[in-house]
Amino acid sequence: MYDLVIIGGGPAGVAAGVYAARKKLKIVLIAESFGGQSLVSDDVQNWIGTVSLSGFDLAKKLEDHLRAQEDIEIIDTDLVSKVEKIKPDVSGAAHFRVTTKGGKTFDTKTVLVASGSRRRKLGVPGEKKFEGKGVVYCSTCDAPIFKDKVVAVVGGGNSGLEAVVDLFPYASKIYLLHRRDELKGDPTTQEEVTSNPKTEVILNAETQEILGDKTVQGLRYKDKKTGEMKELDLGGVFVEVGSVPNGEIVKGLVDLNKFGEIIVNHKTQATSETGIWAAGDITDVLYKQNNISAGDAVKAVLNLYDYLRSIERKVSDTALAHEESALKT
Amino acid sequence: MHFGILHPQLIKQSPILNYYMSVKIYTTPSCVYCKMAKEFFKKNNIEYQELNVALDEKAREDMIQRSHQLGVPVIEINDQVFVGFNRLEIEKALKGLA
Repeated sequence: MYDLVIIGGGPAGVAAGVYAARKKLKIVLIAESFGGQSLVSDDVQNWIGTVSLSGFDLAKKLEDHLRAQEDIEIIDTDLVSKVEKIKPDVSGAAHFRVTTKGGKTFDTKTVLVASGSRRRKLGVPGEKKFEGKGVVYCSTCDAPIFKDKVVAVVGGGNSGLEAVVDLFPYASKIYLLHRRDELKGDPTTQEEVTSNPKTEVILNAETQEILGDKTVQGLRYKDKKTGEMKELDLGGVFVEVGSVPNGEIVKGLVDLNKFGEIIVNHKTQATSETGIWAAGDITDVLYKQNNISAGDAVKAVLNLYDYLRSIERKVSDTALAHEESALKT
Repeated sequence: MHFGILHPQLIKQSPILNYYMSVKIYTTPSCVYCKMAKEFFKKNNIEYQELNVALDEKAREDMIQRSHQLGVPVIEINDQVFVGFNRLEIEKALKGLA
């Protein structure tokens, strides 16, 4: 029986692992990889204590810090498939079973869900078919492959704007499609994007379908103002439409909000289910930031540590009561 | 970062493996999964040839033709083509060759 199962290897999961290991808890951390969503960032300039580092180096530092702890079990390259409640202990405190895709199971007294979020997909015909064949989700990785091509970036938030900037040295023309009637994202990046002659911004554009044969050849969108369907000839489509929380593993067990984020008590990071905590981008925290995720995970560990001690006391009290009543009879 | 270590027997053999194994990694400089792939091969003492498709246009054409893929990394082990870097998949392929 574990004291704690930590799900996730981003800043929240790792911070929790370090704190929990120092509390001498029996822990296992399960993560597909380390670093969280910043992994693909070229340059992270707001990780406190480090002026600038790549997402790759941030991931490395996080993993090294975690592995430096004694007595922490780490399961990497595996994913959690479900968390379920099992038989409680004698004092009535909940126990949980965490199962991985690889078929491993871990029984535990508490769970910290720090599974983060993943890239949102457009969910239109052709997107899946052309993934890796012109549909791109990592602009920093793949922009150079689209040299001298006409491409579209879908999404007018910060990540969409940054994808356009990534493409400037390579693509010959970049359409920036956005659903709303004005761009979101930082004003400075907006200025950089819109002042470049390679950019053409198309507002009120709702992507309907990715077109192509072996690779992407175009995109069909609906002009929301006129209702008209229009097509663009393209060599690539860069999808930057936000993220979705990885909350499926605890669906039905803890309360989620309408976005699928886990609702937590922001003082303690406790969820609606006693014994389960959550931290980082998976939660309904207002600001999704590496530093905040790490801090929130620390809060969760300190709070669940108190909980573990209180149930320990309850268990020994219950045992004592049993003993006493046995003596009486 | 921690990368999987192959069976010691394989590492011992890897100079021999290198002799008949050709590994090519198609990369771009800003791609983190490419870095992960390179570190994996380095850690396992397996030589590879890196082709930077951001600069090398011929390599870019080759990669697209051989993998039908417009994304990096693409890894070629002998004639096997792997799209992306999936450590478990690569380990399996290398063990198959050992």
